[in-house]
Amino acid sequence: MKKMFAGFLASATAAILTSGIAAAQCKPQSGMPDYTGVTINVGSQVGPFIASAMKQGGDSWSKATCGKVQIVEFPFGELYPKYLTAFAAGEDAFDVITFAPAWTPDLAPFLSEMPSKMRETDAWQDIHPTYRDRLMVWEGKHKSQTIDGDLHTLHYRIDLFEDPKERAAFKAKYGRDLVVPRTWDEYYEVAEFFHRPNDGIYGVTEAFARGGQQFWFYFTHAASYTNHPENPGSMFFDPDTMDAQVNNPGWVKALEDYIKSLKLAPPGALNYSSGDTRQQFAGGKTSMNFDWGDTGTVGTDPSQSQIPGSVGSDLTPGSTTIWNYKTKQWDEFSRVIHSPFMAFGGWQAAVPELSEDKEAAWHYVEHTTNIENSSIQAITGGSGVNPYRYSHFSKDLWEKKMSPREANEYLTAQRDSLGATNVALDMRLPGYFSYTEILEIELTRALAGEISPQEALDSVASQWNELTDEFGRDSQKAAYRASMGL
Amino acid sequence: MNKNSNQKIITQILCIAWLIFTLFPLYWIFVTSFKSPIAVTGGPTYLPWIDFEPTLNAWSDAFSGSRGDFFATFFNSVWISIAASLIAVVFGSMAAYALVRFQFRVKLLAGIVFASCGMGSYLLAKEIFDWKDTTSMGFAFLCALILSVISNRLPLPGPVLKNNDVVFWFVSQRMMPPIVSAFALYMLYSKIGKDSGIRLLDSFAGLTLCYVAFSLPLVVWLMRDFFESLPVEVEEAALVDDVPRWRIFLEIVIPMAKPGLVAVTMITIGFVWNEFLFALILTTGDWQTLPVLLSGQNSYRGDEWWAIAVANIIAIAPMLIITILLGRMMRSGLMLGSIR
Repeated sequence: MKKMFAGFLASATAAILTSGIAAAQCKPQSGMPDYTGVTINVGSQVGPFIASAMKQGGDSWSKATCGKVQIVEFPFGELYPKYLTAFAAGEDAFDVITFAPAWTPDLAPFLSEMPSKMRETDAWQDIHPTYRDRLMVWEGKHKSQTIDGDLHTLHYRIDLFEDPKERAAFKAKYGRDLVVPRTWDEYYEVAEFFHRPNDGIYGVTEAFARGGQQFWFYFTHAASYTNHPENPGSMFFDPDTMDAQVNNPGWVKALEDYIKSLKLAPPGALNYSSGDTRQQFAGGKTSMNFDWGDTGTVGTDPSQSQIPGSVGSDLTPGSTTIWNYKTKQWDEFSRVIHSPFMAFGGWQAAVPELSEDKEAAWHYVEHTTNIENSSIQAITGGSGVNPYRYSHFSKDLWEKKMSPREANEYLTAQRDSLGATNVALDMRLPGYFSYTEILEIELTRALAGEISPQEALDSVASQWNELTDEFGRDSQKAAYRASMGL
Repeated sequence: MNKNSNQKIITQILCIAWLIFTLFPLYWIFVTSFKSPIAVTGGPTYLPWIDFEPTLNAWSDAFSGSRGDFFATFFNSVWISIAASLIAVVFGSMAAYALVRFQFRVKLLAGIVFASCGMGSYLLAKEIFDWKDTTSMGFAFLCALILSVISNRLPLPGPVLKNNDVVFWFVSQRMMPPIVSAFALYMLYSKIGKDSGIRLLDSFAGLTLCYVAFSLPLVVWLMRDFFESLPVEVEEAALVDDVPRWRIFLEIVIPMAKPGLVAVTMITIGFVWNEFLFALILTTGDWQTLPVLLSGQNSYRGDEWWAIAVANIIAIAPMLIITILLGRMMRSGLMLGSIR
């Protein structure tokens, strides 16, 4: 007994001494500040998406600076109230918060401005301007750092599209070659062609479930018909009056298309969230889907996909006709106008004013999103990070994970979408999710056939206008115009 | 005899069918936790190695920490559930016993004195003396308590609340939806932390106190019924022998009420273990509990059923074990009570 006790005491002493010595031996890497004793609390949704990326950056930062990072995870739906509750009570619970860009107007008053030295580096210029100069800016100030690039791209089955028998049959039926659809009409022709429930394959898969990111998929449809290149910022609201535009013929056409998608999707698709769509596509059940970049990383991963090597990517379909809200007419264009939609916009990281370690917190943000760390995050499946830097589009990075063709198409689709002249931004205004909740309720009713698309969207427009008046029309207009870069 | 044996067979078949029906959801969660994402979304599959190839990926994800720190939140839930339940049962059963065996007479006006003196004292301390919020609240509570106890002894007019009214007041605390008080409690804890340095937000003490407060009404209400059903003659006999009341409570009443105590403890542990709202609002990183982490498995990228299944098994398993163990104690206690 005495021997056991002595042994235990010796072990405990050794452990304490060792950990003390180890801690005492931490030296910051050359050129890095010493943040020994500093702990950064980072708010995130429950992992692995985003939280794993912040953790990866945190581990690297800890080694470099001897600081500590604690990732505090919450359900996504509780992040927004959690942050605002802490800020309203004056609690310094978080040194860094990760949040949806749609929340920027509500959170911006509580956030510190990014230090100017962060904007003077080569790494700063490596961030794509769509993120750097638009999504990271609020009221003329850089209040956040993009940690993830988000937009929708189209994915198609290379094996099906390039099967000689399928190509011949398609040509015989439709009188044109089977190619990646450039317009929504072509999209539905291809979907109908491949919709073979008896063979267990379906045309398309999109998110239709309320609370399952449904409205972002609908926005991608709507962008093509409503994001007029000559009327920037007029997709959701009239930028001069703040009247809701969501019931104009462009939006109605988009909803009619969205309902058509449901009919060409697998059974049970009404309950699909975005996660289900990529599982269905990766499971070989559908010929096409559109999604955030996750379909690309999941579909090309042999451990998660039944179609590795067959995942093609391109821009989401566009349109040759776009609704002009000023003239109240459809405008015809001689070429297809693509309006890639920046769905969700991409997670942001920011440092609250209440943080007592702002300098260390911003240093952590910069380190986590530097070229090296962000590249690792971008190619790691399950990180939730999609490309947002020019360096992320390097094929060398991706050919470790995908075939050369898959990597080339994936990156080209992402880059071309970001660089499209008519790229459509997601709206950012106070009460964003109040607006989208209204939309989701009516979309669900329309998808279920309870009401017509026009009735659904008339109801949405009316409720959105009421909501705008509740929040204050002038302040909402100012926020909306700022978010659209007007 | 044939008719009897047929009836038995039919009864057994029906019982087995019902057993399958009730156990199937547990089985479904169990097998789903061993499925890959494709196996989950590719259609219903039921039998491992026959319908689908089982994998430990979801389990290794959960224990690797990539989906949140299951170990830390699990142990947080365990410690807080046990502590809050024990404290609530100890104090609640004492309160319940007092309400059964003693006569309370609380004048309504004395209660009004408590409320008005409380508010008045707080305003006096805050606005006139310029004390901090926490000090003002403490001062207000003491003043209100002292004045109301004194005024209760005076011959005040108006209704007199008796034991049943006091019990109703206890129970009425649970009629209020918890969300009503959630943010107020957050602000209170935040103020106390800033004024006095006593950390209640994201702390063991803060969350435990909160759960004790919300569990006490239930404990008092249930234990009161258990104590009422106990034969008072045994206690009266002890009183005749000059046994102190606290010894009667500990050595006679508690052993007789053991099944009730076990049942109430189980109910309280179940409530605290599953509680989400206050765990979400009052904690951040250090004392986050399992329900908050569980809720996060339903990510904004979609329902990842394989991960949700693992999280649910981790959450359900301890409660199953506790129910089985405490259920045995309850049954043994019931049996003891039946032997005369």
